[in-house]
Amino acid sequence: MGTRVLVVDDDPATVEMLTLALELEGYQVVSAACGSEALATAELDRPHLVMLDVMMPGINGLDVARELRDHGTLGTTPILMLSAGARDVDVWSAWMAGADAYVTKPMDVDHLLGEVRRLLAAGTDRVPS
Amino acid sequence: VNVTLDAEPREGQPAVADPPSVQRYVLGWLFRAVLATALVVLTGQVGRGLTGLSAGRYVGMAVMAALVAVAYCSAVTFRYGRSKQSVDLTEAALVPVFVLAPVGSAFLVAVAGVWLGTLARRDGAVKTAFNGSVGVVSAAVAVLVQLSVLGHDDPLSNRGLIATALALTAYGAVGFLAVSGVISRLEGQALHTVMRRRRHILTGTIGNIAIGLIGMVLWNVRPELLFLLVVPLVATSLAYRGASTTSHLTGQMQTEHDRLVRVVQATSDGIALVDGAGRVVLWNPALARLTGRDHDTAVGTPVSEVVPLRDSRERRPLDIGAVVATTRDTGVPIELDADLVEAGSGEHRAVRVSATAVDGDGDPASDGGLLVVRDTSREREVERLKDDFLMRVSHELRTPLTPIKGYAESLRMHRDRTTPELLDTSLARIVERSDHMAALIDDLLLVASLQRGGGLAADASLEPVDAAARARAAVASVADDRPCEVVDEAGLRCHADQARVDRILKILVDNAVTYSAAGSPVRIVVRASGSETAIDVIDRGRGIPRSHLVRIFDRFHRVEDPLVMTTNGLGIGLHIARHLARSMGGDIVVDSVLGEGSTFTVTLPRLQPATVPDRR
Repeated sequence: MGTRVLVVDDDPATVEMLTLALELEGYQVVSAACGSEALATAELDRPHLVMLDVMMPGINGLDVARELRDHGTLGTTPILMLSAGARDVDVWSAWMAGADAYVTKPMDVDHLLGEVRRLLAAGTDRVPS
Repeated sequence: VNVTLDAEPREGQPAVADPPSVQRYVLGWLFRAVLATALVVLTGQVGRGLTGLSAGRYVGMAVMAALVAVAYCSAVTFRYGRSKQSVDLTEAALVPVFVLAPVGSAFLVAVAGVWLGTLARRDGAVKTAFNGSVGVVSAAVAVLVQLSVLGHDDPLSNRGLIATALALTAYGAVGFLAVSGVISRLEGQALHTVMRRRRHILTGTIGNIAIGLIGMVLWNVRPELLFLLVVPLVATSLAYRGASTTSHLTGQMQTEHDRLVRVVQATSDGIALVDGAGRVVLWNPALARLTGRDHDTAVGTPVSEVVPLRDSRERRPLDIGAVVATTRDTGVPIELDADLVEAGSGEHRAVRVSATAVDGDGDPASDGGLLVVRDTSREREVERLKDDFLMRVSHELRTPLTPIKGYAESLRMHRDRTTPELLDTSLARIVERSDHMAALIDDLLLVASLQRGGGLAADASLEPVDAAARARAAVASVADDRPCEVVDEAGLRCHADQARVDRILKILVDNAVTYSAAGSPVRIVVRASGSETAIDVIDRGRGIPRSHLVRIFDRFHRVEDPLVMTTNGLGIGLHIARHLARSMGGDIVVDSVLGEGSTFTVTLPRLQPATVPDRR
């Protein structure tokens, strides 16, 4: 079984693009279009990494990150925040919510994939079996 | 003291004619003058002893009349609000008239003197008539008093002098009463108030009479020393002048003071004056409104207690007393932005506070500070909206840019593994997202153009538009996953530009979908409304709070708090939609019940059946 990445974004085109980019790298991708769907999918699919958009209708990315951090078995899953917010306060609140990395949209796909690899490597020992 | 009246307009107001009440009053005195003259004539005393006098006596009487006129013109003017009043030495000059002129003829001499003086002052007709009439009545009363007290005694006897004193006191009193009457009418104050305020005039009258009587005694005993009277006369005149100047200056200061008080009371900025000990000594109504603390509470209280400020950024109390002390010690004005904590509600209001040092008239202990507090909550709100909007624009532009850039990079990175299908879908996405971005930028530019007063740049042509068909098209493009119903009463068509109608309906249907739960129905009703076609777009969404209904068509207006927003968007759709509708002679209105849903109604001119051309 490959490495699973959960992609959460309310913009369908972005989800599609990220899915393509990640699949071309050999990752398995599951996706969610909103916060509540993300939590349900994470619970079900146990991803190795969660890629989270911040500004989403309903439960936003920061709330999802907090929920995941408070979650028993998912608490150690690496979280990569992918957000259109480019201010210091955006990065800071993502970090406070428990994100491991923060990438600003629109990003270099290369850089994003590098961050994904880095987080997965660093978190190997905590990836749930 | 002869009191005369001189009304003049208040500063800053146009000159007004004497009010009718004053004109009637003057007429009353004219009438009284005629009556008084008749009464004096009836005593049979007038003119008695006038015949058969030596030429010297006639000349003497003429000289006395002239002296009265001169004394009458020695007037020193006092101001009373809108009216002026003169004080002069008439009574002093009248004393010899009453003592020396043959009994009863004093009336003629006095009247002649007063009229000469009145005419010499070249006042207006009404004033001359009034002052002359009052002079006649006063003289008549004086003569009657003198006659009744004197009896057959010598005017130079003690009793005679007392009679003269009483007569001239009556003379002064009548004048005093007459002028007080006019002032009370001009100033709209009660007669007794006016008289009380001007009672010092009577003192002058008595002083004048005393000087005149002393002169008479001197005349009788040592006429060569009469010149000594010049001294008290000049002294009295100078005293009047001094008093007049003081009263004038006091009046000016009062006017100046009133003006400053009005400025401080009326200004929308909160103003406080703080003494050397940091206590409030002046507190204007605007500051009372801003702080929620009234004048009586604030005055005498340390300023930091009644102007409780908080640093907006650091979120901690800010001691305005210390700020005032600093500006007082350094002499450098301080300006700062802070939050003012309202009494009672405890709400914070954005304010700009300026503190300036104020000199305490050379006494370092009373050096203080002037505080000006301006409500800047509107400015702060506008700033917040701007920041918020910038953040939204950034988000809305970055969002479609993300897949564009992502697809392009992925395609380049994996050129060798790209299948034709993958290439097709990727390029289609890139084109579609680019179109979305271009539309967004067009909207932003359109809003900017509308804001500058510019029109809608796109071409438009008015043509018959089938409202229901356009509504169905809008639903198909935006809300194909919703149970939508389009109700069309009678196949109504409107006279409009189809592209604009499409855009309006798309914005409204899009809003209806965005602000209602998934699966909730959207209903569109096309109906006739007077001479117009109305299109209702009805949703069962969350509704709009009443307080937002009026502003919902403002640009950038969004009902949500940006921190907890649950939907995207720039808040320009409805703004554009209303402009589009109005550009075609229509409009958009909204009705909404919170929690039950909203109805947006577009009205457009209806195509009248008679003028309906066949559809080409």
